[in-house]
Amino acid sequence: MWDERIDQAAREMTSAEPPSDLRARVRAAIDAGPPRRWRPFVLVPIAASLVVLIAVAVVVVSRSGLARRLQPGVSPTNVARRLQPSAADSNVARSLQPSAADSNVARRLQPSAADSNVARRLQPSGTRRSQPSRPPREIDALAPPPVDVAPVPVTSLEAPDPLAVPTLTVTSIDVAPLSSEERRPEGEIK
Amino acid sequence: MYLGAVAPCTLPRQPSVPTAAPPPVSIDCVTDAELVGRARLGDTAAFGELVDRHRSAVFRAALAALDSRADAEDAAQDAFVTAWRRLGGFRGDASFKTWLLTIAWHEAINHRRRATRWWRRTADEEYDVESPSRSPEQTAADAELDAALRAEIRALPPKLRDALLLAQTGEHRYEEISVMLDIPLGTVKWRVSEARRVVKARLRARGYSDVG
Repeated sequence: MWDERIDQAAREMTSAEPPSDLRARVRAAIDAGPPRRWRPFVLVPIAASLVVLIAVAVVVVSRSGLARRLQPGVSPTNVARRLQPSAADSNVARSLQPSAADSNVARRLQPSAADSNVARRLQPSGTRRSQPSRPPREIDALAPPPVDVAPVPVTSLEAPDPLAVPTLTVTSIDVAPLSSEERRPEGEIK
Repeated sequence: MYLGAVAPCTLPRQPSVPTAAPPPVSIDCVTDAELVGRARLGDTAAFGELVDRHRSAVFRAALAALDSRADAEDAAQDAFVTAWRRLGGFRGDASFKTWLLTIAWHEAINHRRRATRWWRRTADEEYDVESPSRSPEQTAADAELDAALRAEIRALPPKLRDALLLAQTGEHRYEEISVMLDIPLGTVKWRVSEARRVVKARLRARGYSDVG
């Protein structure tokens, strides 16, 4: 009984009549010709054009982003100028030169406020950007006064005298030939 | 049940006078093979006759796959157009109807793949409407039972649902379904039986206690 009811329900689901104009529709579709489809010889040029367009767009966007990053305040020439050692830096560097005569070498080689300032100024711009920036005037006010250090004369060492090496004399040793009794038999030598 | 009727063909009597013009032959007497032969030569009228002969079987196969009249009409039309373009490849190993139904089924499956979301949505909506929260008195109503049956058939796995619906169209024999679905004949029969068993089990779960 239930099998029949299931079959009946399935039959009703597919019991619709086909459209009466199906023949005419088929005829019209046949007369209209095959539908236009995307063929490979159409798709390939379109895909190539799209790739070129995307590449151009990427280049344009990256260039505009680079130009925005290289604003006039941080142009490469400015960065290079800021990285050049100044007069104060050369003074400090001169003071850090080792000298045997100077008794305060150890004290001078310890990092002072001026040295750390120099190190900070010599850092690459990328690392400096992460630190809180201050106005240039404030930074100049914090700079230590230049240290006046008298140049230390360095006397050159005298060249040492060449070392005198006595020549070795070898005396010849006279060796007497062995007698026949002292010689070993040939079979024993191995 | 197979309802695919063969058109009666009554040949006209031969004229007594040899010189008389032969009477027009009824199109019903022309076999599918002859119509296919004419259609291959470009006779669209012969192909139109083939459309008229098999439109019901093709349309109902598409309806079994799609459960939508509009989609089934489109799929049936596409199937006939495809068959017209592939007539040159018809070798006659199977009957024209079987060959045509195979094309129709593939077209319907292609339509179904495009409309899968629609199918699931519709099936789910109808399934929700028929959720089992009714009293036994309500379930006794034939209309509601019919709706529940349809909902359970739609909720079947596609393989079982296709076999059951195709078997009940009245247009397709098991042998034809076997060719259309590209599965053995025994598998077709098993799927139909399994579909019935699953539907009955689900009806029992929905409160129909008298389901056998």
